[in-house]
Amino acid sequence: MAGFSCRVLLVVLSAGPGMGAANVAATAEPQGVGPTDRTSRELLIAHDSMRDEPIDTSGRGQVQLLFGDQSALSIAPGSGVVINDYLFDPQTQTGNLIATVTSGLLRYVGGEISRQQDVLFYTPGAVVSVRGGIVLIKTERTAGAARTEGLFLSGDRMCVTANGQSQCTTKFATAITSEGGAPPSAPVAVTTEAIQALFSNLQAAGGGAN
Amino acid sequence: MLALTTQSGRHPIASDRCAHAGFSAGRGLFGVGLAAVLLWLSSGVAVAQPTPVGTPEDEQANALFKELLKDPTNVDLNFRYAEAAVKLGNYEGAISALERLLLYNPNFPGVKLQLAELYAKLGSYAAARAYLEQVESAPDVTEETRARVQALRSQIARAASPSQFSVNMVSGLRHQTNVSAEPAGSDIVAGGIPLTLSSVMLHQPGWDAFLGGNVAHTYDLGGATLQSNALVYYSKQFHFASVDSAAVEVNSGPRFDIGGSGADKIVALRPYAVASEVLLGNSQFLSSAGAGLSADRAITARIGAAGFYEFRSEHFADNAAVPTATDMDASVHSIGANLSYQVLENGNLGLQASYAITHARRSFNSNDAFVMRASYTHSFQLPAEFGVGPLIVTPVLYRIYSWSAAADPAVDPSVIPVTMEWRVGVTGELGLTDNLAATAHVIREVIGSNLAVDRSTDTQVIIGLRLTY
Repeated sequence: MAGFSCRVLLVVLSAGPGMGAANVAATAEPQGVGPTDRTSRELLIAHDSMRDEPIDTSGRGQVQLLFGDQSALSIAPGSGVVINDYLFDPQTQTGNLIATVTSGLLRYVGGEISRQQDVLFYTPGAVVSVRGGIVLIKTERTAGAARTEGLFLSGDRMCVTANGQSQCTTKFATAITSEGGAPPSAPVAVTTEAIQALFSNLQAAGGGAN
Repeated sequence: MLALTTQSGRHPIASDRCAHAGFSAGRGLFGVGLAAVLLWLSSGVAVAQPTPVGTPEDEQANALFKELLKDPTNVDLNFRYAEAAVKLGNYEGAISALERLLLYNPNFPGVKLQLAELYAKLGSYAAARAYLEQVESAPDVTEETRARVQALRSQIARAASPSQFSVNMVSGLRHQTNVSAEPAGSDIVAGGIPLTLSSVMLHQPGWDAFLGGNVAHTYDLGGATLQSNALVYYSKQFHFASVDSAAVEVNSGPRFDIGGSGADKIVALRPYAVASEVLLGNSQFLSSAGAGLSADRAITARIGAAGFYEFRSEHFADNAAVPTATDMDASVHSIGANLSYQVLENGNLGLQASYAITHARRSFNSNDAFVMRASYTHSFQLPAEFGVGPLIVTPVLYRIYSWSAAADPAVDPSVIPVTMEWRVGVTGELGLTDNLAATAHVIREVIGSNLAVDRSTDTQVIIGLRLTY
């Protein structure tokens, strides 16, 4: 997979009631995301390869990163994510995805890679591994201590590892939490309201209907 | 009265040990056995459909995704890709596309309701409810939308219940060149009832109508699932009432993971209790009770393995067809193993071996039996314009051995019977609707033996309909 082309397409959309028309800018090179207003939405396309690509949505709108293996990463405003390593071979339908979530909230919807192997998300003090399916990962700092919460929505399993210990879940709508680098909690059920609140942070502002 | 024979072909069976090679080879194993009896009957719901890679639908979805990578903000493309992904069972792909739309406009008509439906299909009910609440909280929600929301909520409530039922019924007609009591379309496992009943044969052609079914119940206990099954089978011959057969079995036991859970588990175990009842010629014939332990695990993403051990105490009743049936009262120990290998995206190879040891009241009814089975299941996605599908085709090959423990003085006191059987066949199933499929089954059986009277052949043709709920 060393010969993969490194093509990253950045699409920046202005705020608006619909999508698809106005002010679309695209480039074939990786770009940092410049400051925009709070309601902007951005789409990054990673075809086959991406390495050490920072995505900072501090004070800005949502971002979705669409990968060539048909997986997607939605990142809420005020988040910091680095794609440490992404490789995908369309011929063998195999690859690798490792990312770091420094802060904020993301939703990962798995594709071909996560069907074959674990996808890893490093957070301050923990590692969240995902096989298949859909997860929400939230990281924050409270009183100086890092807190990581992995919420498993579907798929084969999600594990959280911290301080040398792991907790895994295969039950949908359960969460595993690690605080201050302490060993992760046992999986606990998550309410519909909690999921709804997190979903709302991953949608354009002003939503609700339909 | 028609002279019944065992698999050995001896006449009349009513006067001798009905189960020499035949009955004894096929005894017991009802717990695994009747489940196996109806394996073909239940395969429509038991076998997950492989991802249809390489099909026109798959190619269409891939083409749409490539277009999407070039034009990711194209609303129509996102919807078309989501629709194509759903057709492939790739609900995550569809969710990704629709949630992308919400990134730009949280009020896309119908998108949240579709997302709720997709999450529900994945079994992610809390996420589905989260979207439903967003739909309901909208100020401009229509009555039609409310009705859809309510319908989906009801569906989720049923699906999310810890108590789940599923029903699978097959009914049809069968023609045999050598009429036997064997359940139509049954799988054969050493010590199993299908082999037991297959030994009761008439050496005449004939038709029968049959009905088989399986009601499965699961109850989520948290760390384990209580799995229970009730299986029934009834066959009515058009002309030979002596081989009308009926069977019912109930088995129940908890299934739980050992050494982790989900994909991480070392193995999943299920101890169970089982009881069964069989009628032959409309008279009580066999009752049994026992217990077993089954185990399964995924070795790789494409290879799965399973095994079982079962003990059963069998009690036969003398009836008009088999007056000395009580001589066959026995204890039966059975073991078996299955290996499943997904060789293609839509093709699965199955290998199965089972061994049964029967200790009967009379030594000439005791025997060992060994069954090997190989099958390959291929799912063909038919063009959408056909309006039906998929077409699932399964060729199958058996090799079956049986060794009696002693010679039967009534047949030939100098020969301890040994039989060797080949079975080759093919099953086809065509999906007509989500819950209904047409089935067809053809199998050829050739039985060889060191006793001439035990040699026989049979060809079965079965057509039927399968209903699942």
